[in-house]
Amino acid sequence: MPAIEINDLTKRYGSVTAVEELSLSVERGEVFGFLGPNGAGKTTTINVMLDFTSPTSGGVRLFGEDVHENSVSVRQRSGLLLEGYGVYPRLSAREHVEHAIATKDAADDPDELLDRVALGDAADRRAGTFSKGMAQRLAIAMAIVGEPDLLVFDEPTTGLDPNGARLLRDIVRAQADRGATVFFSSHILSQVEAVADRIGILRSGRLETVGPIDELESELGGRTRLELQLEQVTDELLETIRALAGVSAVRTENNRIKIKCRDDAETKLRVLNTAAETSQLVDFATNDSQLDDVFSAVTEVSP
Amino acid sequence: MTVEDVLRRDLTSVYRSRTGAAVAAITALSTVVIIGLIGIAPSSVVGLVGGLLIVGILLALVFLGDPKLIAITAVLFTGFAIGLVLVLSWPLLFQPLAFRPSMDTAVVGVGSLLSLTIPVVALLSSYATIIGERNSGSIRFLVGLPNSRSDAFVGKFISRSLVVVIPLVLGLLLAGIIVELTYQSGSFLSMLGLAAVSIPYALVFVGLGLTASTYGNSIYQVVAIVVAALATLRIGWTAIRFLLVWDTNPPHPEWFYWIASLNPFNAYITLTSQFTTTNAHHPLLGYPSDRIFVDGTVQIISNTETIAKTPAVAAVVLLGWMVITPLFGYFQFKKADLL
Repeated sequence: MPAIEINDLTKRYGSVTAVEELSLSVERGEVFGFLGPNGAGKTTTINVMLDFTSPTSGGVRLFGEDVHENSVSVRQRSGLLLEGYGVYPRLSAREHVEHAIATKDAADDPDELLDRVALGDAADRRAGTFSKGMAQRLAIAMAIVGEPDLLVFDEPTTGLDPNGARLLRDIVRAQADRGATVFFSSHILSQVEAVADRIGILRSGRLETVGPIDELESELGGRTRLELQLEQVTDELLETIRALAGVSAVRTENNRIKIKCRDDAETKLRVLNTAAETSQLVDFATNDSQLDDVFSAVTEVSP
Repeated sequence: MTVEDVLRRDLTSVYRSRTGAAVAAITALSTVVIIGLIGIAPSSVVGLVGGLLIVGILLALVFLGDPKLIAITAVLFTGFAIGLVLVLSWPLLFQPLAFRPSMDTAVVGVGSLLSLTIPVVALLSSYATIIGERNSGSIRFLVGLPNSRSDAFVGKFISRSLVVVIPLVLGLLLAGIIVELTYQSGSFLSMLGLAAVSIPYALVFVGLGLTASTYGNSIYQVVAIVVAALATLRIGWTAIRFLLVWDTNPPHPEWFYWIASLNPFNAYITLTSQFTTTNAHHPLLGYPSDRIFVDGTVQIISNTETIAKTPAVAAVVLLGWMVITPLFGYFQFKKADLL
């Protein structure tokens, strides 16, 4: 039985369709990266997943339980870090964690949890005085109360500095090692890339693609960018490069040529040799395909 | 038990905000402070000093954010008011007991004052309950932790009710002690009775604020709903009823009294009147008195006898409002798309 099963989920707000016929399954113990530009429907999906919002059609099951019918038991097994949450300004950090522990009937030590998110020194401060990053770390501590089977992190890196982001990655890995399923939504690809086993990319409410990260990179990417700097760029040279096998795009910028081509040694050498033959080549650089490119390739709206 | 967790968390937050202090200050002012002032001074002095006192406390509530400062300011102004009353009414203080204020003054005075201030403090304590958490985003903790919607709503309702009921009961108990000791035929039990009918009355408005808080999509909408509901109940209701009998003379038909008796303000006034010694017609009642004084004797000008005017009906009406008002909010909260 998968940890998360989203079946044909559609959610409309009036005439706006936020999520359309979304089906997705996440296995237990998996770290799933849920990617998409802002407004793609990630948060709406999560809101339905946790019974905050009712779907227009379709539904979600967590650990085989319908999220609406078994709302409380589903949330009892989940730890949440939700986008747009706010702390209780008049409660201290420790009181927040104690409240989560009491509500979940968990046995955690609040101070230990706060230490794990580096808030031990601020445990008695009221959360109303916290910076965005501190509040975010507090919310992470509350999310991992009671060793939940599922962690839902919606845009968890918002407001975190690089140290905070690393802390979050460590926590996600530790939770995954413990056997928890992690559903990690973000529009920042490097964050997802660093932790996810598998990703799904959402655009305009539809799931565009889903699969293991390396597969997506070779499937949609496998391309590289070469940048050449020359003394002088001639039209003849441009035409020659354009005609080479494996080259997909060429454009110039002053004395630079930017080339998109297949990411293999043969193609790159062919391009470099062609340029070198003109005796005008000054310098060159390559830029490997990143998940960013996959993301752009999938989510860019074609003109 | 998550109702308890929601309740404890919510109470802590309210008592650290200015809401708890504001509710306590206004409630104390309209119970024990006013009873104390009436107890030591003639009514004209009380009116004067009471006005000063109210201005002082309102300034504290508007300009001070810290609950401790509000409490300190309220206590200081109360001390100042008592001192001023003592100075102004010094010669009267040593009069024999016959000149003491009567029990009826206490019941009618405090009852009338509470009929206005209870709705204010109850709405103040409850109108932001849900919309406030939606605005700040903390509702994601409220509904993200394993609380059912019912637990969350009930926990919140109990919390905000306690915020109002605790100072109200304490204030009336202290007022009762003062009344018993210094008022003419003063009765502690009557003040206790006043407290007993004030609790459901307060819960009606806690429920109203909570319901408005679940329906509105912004704090402005919620305030608009609350103001509209108050105006309808307090002014609109009376206006419509009087318009219906505009050009008719008493005795009025029975339905006229039924319309009046279904109003929660009226139900509360009817019930508080039960604790006066003379059972006189209360000036705030929503229908005219059946009796008038002509040359020192009571004349019956209208003899519409209807159970609509009885305290039993008033009790049923008040309890009905108390149960139904929060139920609207409850069902809305259960099904709403909260995020």
